[in-house]
Amino acid sequence: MDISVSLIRQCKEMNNDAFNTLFKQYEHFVYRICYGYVRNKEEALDITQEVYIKIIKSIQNFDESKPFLPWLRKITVNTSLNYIRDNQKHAAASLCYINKDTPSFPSLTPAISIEGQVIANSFKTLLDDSINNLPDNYRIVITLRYLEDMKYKEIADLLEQPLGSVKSTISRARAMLHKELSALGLLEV
Amino acid sequence: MKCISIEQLSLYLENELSEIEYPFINSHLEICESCRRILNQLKIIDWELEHDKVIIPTQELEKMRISAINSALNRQNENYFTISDLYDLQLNTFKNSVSFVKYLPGINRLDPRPNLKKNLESSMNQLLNKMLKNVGTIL
Repeated sequence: MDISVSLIRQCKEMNNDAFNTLFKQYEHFVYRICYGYVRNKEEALDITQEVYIKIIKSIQNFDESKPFLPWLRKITVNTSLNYIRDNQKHAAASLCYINKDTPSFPSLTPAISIEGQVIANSFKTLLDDSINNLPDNYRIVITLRYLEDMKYKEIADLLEQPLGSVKSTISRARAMLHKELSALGLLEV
Repeated sequence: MKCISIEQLSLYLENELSEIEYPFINSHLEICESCRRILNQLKIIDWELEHDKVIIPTQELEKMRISAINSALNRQNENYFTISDLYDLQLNTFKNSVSFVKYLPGINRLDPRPNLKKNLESSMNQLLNKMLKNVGTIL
């Protein structure tokens, strides 16, 4: 559901409450894309903050007769892609909890026990780390495809890339994830 | 027959191959255990990515949102440096540049009129003010 034109007009008058309402409505959406890209809570919050500031600075250029969500999405994606990571904050992939006693498990096992939950959380962390090791362009495409459920054509239009390029990016990203996760013994079937 | 590449298997999973390729890939999968295993592993990765949940830190987002809006809007209203600040700065600079007059040798003896020095400084300041006002008008 898109927001009302009057809310945008109030934002253009630099109304604090109007911006608060606007951002509150969309913060999950923005945060999800940012997190999907950096796979780190602190960095995702940093990027979300940059997105808010960019919107405040450029709200005057937004045509309120057009839908707000695509404009917001484009700013979020571009801010994520331009974000320069502080290497000290970037968590390296940690393999400390993978040892000879860790069972190889099929990841479709429902995590109904505490042990199951720990294993599932560990897999999630390893998946996050593996996604983090992908090149920037691969990560954003994976985020838009899986977290935002966008179609290939929509992703191609948003990133201004050819459709074929997006499709091959996804399949190469999967191939890279396959290589990393199978090296960790997490894809035994 | 040569095994299928992972990229091609990935496109197969997404139904993104051309129609002509499917019969070849299907017949290869029937006989090649290795490719079947890789395809299943890709399905696992796909499933994990589809069910990837992002935990939203609601409280931290709210705190950050409020602080970001306040700081961005306050910065919009602040005038860091305006024309009047420039004017004051330039006036002070010119005043300092004419203060040398009081140190001219013999300035106190040049004219018995006691206020000459003061008048000289005052005239110069008036002249400079006039010049600066004109500059302000132009700007």
